[in-house]
Amino acid sequence: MKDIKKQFTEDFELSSKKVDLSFDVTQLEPNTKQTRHRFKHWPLVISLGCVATAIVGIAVPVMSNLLKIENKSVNKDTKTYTIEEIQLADKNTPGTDVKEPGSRSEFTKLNEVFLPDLQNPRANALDENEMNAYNSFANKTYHAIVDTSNSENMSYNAIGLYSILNNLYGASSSTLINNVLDGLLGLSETTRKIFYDKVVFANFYARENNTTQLRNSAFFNNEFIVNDDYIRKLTDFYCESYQISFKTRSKEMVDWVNQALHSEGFIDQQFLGLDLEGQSRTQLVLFSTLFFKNAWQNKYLTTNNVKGDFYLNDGTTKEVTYMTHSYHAPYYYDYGSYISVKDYYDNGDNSITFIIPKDHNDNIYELTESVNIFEEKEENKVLGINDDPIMIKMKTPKIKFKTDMEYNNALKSLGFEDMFNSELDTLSNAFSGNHSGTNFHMKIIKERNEVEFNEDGTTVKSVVMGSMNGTESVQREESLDVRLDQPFIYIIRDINKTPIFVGHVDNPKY
Amino acid sequence: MEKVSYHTLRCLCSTSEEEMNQAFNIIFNKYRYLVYYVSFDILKNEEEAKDIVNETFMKMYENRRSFMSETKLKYFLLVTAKNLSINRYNKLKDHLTYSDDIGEKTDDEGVNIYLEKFKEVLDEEEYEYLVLHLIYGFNFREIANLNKLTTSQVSSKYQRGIKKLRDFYGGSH
Repeated sequence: MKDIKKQFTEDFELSSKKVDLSFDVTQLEPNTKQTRHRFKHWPLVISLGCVATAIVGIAVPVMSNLLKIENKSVNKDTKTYTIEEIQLADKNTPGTDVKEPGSRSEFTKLNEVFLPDLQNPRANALDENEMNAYNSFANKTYHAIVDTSNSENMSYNAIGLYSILNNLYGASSSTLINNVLDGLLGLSETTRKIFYDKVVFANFYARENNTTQLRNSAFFNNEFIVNDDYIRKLTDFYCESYQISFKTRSKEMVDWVNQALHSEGFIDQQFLGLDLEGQSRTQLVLFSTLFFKNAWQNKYLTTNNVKGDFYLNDGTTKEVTYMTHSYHAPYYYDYGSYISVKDYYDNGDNSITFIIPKDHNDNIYELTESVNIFEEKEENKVLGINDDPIMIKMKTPKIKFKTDMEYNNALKSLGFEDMFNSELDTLSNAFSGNHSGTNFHMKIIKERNEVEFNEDGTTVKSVVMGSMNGTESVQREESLDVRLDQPFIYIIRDINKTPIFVGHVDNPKY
Repeated sequence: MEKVSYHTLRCLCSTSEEEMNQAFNIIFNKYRYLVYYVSFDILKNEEEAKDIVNETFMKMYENRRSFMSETKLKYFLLVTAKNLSINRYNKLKDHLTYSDDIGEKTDDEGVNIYLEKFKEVLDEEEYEYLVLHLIYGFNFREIANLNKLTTSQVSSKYQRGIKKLRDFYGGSH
């Protein structure tokens, strides 16, 4: 295929070169400093109004009874407002907002975060260092979670945990914890920013059949003064930050998460598990949410669904509904006892990788125990005959799960014991002012996920939460039949091929 | 073909004339033949097509701030080239006498420049999809959107084209 491509390209260029095509660059208008400034900081150009409007447009239905009668000067109507609009109104209302953080205000917005516009994901390929660092992070944390939990149908928001840990970096006052974080997250602090920019720009868009929104937030209790430097670092990593009274306004956190996931009731106050009384009280909660709703590029038809057996790990079988469709893929990976094959979403760039054993007698988790499942090895790539695309006949069970996971044990196994130790003050850089006698430490990092595969596409709603306490003291074609009829692993990748979400299907439920 | 990096796209807006010119030339050198081909395919006239190439890249430059990826850039170039060519064709058609009708020039001389070698093998659509997918990396969905077809229609035509091409090159070897 490479020869054909090379030959065809040469012939094409040969034909083109018969014509002289040149361009006089002197006719181009030079860039002024203003032009450069505008380009470099274009996200800052997007006004808050536009961002709020975009969020309103997507997240919150606007119910309006506006009458378009030209002579009317006054209209009465009812509307639902977003958190951003409420905050803006609070800011402008005398007496309801005091700008100094830590001054016991019930609700203060601490920063402005400029997210990309919602039109299209922006592809910006990861370089080798970024890819290796992130794959290594995803692999270590994935295996630590698998080793320390035995949940059925487990799923894990890799990019969410990365976001939480990265946001904790600025809060850490412990050299040991910083070293562990550096080792796990990889890259330097500066290059992590470049990497994270790419992740955010690839994962913040909303279109008719494809929406992915990665969002972060930090909520500080109003007992202490927040460190401005820490807020600046959170802003750099697109983390909206607020200071609220946890006792009276904790519902703001619930509303923020549910709104970010377009899902009323996804979490409640019970999920937050705040400590409001006693010697150890919650002082900071970090959230990272992922809303992924993307249609398949090659749709499944309900009429093609079939019932069939799913082979469970204990040797028994269970009847489930399978969706079936066929499509062309340029390649798949063959690792001997198991394969890895991709299916694609409607925007052509997002993909999902399925990893499944060839034989029902094999267990995918044993086969991949010491393997980095996020790396795709070139030597195992299988191309079609003469590099033609391969016909994939895919049979996928319909699934819908909701799972809760806690990561304390997994993170402790990766070297973060001190971070969870209530007798140590390891995260005090989140706060400034006098807080001697208080040990800031992580109480819990946990996650709630809802995953659905159906004929239309894949929906993932995920929130990772990190809660910090302060103790007084987050044409024939080659074809491949793939039947996902035994436990398998799935990995969702964004348009830069960054693996953002991974899960197991042990026992399909719908 | 070498990728147009994010850095190059940003350099289009650089205040350094040298950096800007270099970035522009990288993009121009990579995509000039594609733009010319698309335009020539519609206009069948060398001078008009060259003019469209110039206009297309000027428009690309005017919109330089909005390109965050090569994908968006090349799609922009292709759509702009097509639209400008169609507009030019319609304009010229109205002003030509019968003897100068561009439609008359859809003879071998106008088409030969690209399809001369393949005229017994590929039709124009097959050739177009091969150029867009094989050389310039457009995916089937993008090609389908451009031509208001379904992805499967594009894929089938492309597969036929690839098979013919394989036989063609295999035969000539």
